Amino acid sequence: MTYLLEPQADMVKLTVMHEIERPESKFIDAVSNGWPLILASLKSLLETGYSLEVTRTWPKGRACATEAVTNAR
Amino acid sequence: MAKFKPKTVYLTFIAATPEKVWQALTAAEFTKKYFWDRSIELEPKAGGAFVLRLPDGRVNVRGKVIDYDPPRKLSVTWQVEWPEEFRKLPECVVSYEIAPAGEAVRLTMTESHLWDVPDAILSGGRIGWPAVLSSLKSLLETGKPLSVTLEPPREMIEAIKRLK
Repeated sequence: MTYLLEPQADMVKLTVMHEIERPESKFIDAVSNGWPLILASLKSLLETGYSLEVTRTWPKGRACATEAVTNAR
Repeated sequence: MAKFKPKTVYLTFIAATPEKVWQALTAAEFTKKYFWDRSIELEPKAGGAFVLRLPDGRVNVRGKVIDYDPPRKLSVTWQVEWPEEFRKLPECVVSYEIAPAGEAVRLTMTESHLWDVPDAILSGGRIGWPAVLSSLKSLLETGKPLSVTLEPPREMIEAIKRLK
């Protein structure tokens, strides 16, 4: 998992790369929704002082991360 | 439309209502602020005309509306007319989907193509869409867009020159 930060004028371009050595990996499918949500919340927090409310607590009833990984191979 | 295959997907979450996000995507006074001064012109119905116009009046992108379903889904065909050498690019489809996500909104942009597009050509959208949509998010949440300056990547321009 890699974070790449590139300053551009008064901004930063942040790139996240999450890689796995498995073609057509379901794990990558599974994290492809999570990362945009976390990164969008990080951007809101830095720009407005408030994170996105949906990212503040782990939602009740959602499978825990280890289950998701087990099921996603 | 089934033959168009998704090649680039950008997903973000915005603290706004679906209606606000829809307005930001479809009203020229908004697109001018975050889409490098381009004005959207949209006939509000499937089959209607779609234009992205440069500040000097020239057409940047032209297309037709495929889906018009406020505030959920907008898709348009996308034919670049300027810069002139980009006219060689086959038409693609750009689609925005808006869905509630808690108190926020999930916005998904999908760029779909009919042909086996080389990565060099896709690089333009893969660099450009995050800048455009990140700026849209800032505009809606803070009132101020980002001021990202971007040129089309050199590898993209070279790959377009090689197209027949």
